[in-house]
Amino acid sequence: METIVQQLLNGLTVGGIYALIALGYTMVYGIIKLINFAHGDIFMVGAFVGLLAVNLIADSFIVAVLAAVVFCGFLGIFVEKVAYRPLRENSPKVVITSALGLMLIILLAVFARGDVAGIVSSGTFWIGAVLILAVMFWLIRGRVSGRNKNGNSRINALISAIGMSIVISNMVMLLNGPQREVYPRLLPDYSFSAGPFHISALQLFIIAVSFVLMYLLYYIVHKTKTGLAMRAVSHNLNAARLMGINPDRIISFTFLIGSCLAAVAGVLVGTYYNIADPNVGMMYGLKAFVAAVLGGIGSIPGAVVGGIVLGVAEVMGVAFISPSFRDAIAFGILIFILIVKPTGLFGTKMKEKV
Amino acid sequence: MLKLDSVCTRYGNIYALKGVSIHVNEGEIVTIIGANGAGKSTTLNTISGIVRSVSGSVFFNGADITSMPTEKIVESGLIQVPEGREIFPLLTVYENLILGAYLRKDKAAVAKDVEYVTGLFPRLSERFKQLGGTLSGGEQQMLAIARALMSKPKLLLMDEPSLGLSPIYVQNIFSVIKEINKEGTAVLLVEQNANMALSVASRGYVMETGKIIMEDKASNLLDNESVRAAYLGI
Ligand SMILES: Nc1ncnc2c1ncn2[C@@H]1O[C@H](COP(=O)(O)OP(=O)(O)O)[C@@H](O)[C@H]1O
Ligand SMILES: [Mg+2]
Repeated sequence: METIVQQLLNGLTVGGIYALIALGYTMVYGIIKLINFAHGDIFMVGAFVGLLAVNLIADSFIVAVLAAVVFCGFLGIFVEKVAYRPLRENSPKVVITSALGLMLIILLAVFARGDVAGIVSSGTFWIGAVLILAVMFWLIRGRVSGRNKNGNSRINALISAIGMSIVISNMVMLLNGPQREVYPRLLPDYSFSAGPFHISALQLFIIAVSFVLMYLLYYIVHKTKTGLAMRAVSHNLNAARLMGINPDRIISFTFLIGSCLAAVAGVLVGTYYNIADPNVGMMYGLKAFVAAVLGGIGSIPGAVVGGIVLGVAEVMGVAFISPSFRDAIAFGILIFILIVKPTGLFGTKMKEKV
Repeated sequence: MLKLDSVCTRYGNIYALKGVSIHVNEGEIVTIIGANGAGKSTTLNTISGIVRSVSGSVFFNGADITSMPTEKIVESGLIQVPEGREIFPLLTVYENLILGAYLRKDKAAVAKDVEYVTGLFPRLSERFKQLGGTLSGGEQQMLAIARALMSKPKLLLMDEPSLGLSPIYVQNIFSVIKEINKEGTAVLLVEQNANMALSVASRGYVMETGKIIMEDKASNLLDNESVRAAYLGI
């Protein structure tokens, strides 16, 4: 009994973090029907920016979170502008936007490192950049020759998303090196006893922060005019435009919010495990994606429930079956849900976007 | 007020509009009638910037709106009630109305206008908290019109508002169109229900396969032999 409660608390902590990341996937999917594969990398960047801010400014949780949120907010908007918006836009500006965006990243990296060699010699970085540019060139070619009108826009977006994910994770590795970094304890951790249970204050704090942020998101989406516009755009883009809504602005806002949540999750994970790892973006991203699919992709309550269920299942699996099961559980759940109920727990019927 | 000059629009390589020139004057109700597939909806969507013309120009109140983004066109007071109503089915009736006033900042005046439009369509006020998708077809059309009015339009583009509605609803909606017009809003009305449309309009255009083939006072079109044969079923 005691272990179960203890594990439940562990599960809620991890699950709350998965939920925070999953919300970004689900909101973006809800609004432009795109799996933003770079989202997990934005989460990872959040952890590193928090670490950098702590090293440069002050040893404080608030400083780390603020820096991560501001940087990742911009990064999310940037990713959308460079990798996804050109796919929607009906003009030959597309390659130029993406190329300029990628060039900006390269210049910043060169500037930050103080040398050119690392970037020039990093093969994987260039693979990512070339993927994005190839999609854009292909689009223009199709438009000029009058063929493939938006026919494969989902595949295009997917390739572009994978390219962006590679670019971001490689950037962090180029700037930081591929090794893990020790994360400072930004929050005091002490445990107190409540009856037979030992409760960790840090865990309680993480759970509380997750829920407060989820409520904040609920408030934005359901109680503000911008949230109303988000829902309108996600239901019917053209009708939303006829209301005078600028969809690009709403889509940017959606990326902003999702990225900010991921940034907080990044700092929380760093603080919780005392480690920042440039390689975890992919894995956390995939797990949060599983959480979003489990809850029904596009559904905000679904992402919350999916994240928590996944976190608890994972922790229970580790505790009662075997620690080596940890990652297998997430993908087992993914396969199971795709077979049994592909729309997820809260998913409505899949509506094809026209 | 609104002026289209030789507008051509295409989907892929097929031209849906082949040089359309029409205009709407201040305070008028003008109708475009024509068979299914003639290009009526494409005309309205080109005006609203939902689809883009390949040549020709669109002017609204003296400004060139040919390549303006839709939301800017809406901001200038040119509002469309689209074909098939396109209300937001998962939002409440009230939220649909508020979205109509998305660009307005004057909260108090918006609240007043909610009262005004529900005065025009009393059925809506009983259904404020209901989801848009649960309304009947006629009620959805009322909501679509009410939502458009929430933006205080200068010119209202209406795409087949009578489509699929029972005669009672059609009567109701056309009398509201007349009332809106009396309060000063110009209307460009697209209809297959040519009889109804020509009876409220002052002028009319007849459209066939992407071209305007006839243009006259509405009363003259109602009397015209070939129009009667082709569109009025007489
Ligand atoms: N989204 C579209 N893609 C391709 N062709 C279209 C599209 N919309 C309309 N069309 C074609 O354009 C022509 C005009 O259609 P439309 O403007 O909807 O006519 P109407 O509103 O008068 O019934 C038709 O031949 C129709 O098949
Ligand atoms: Mg039509």
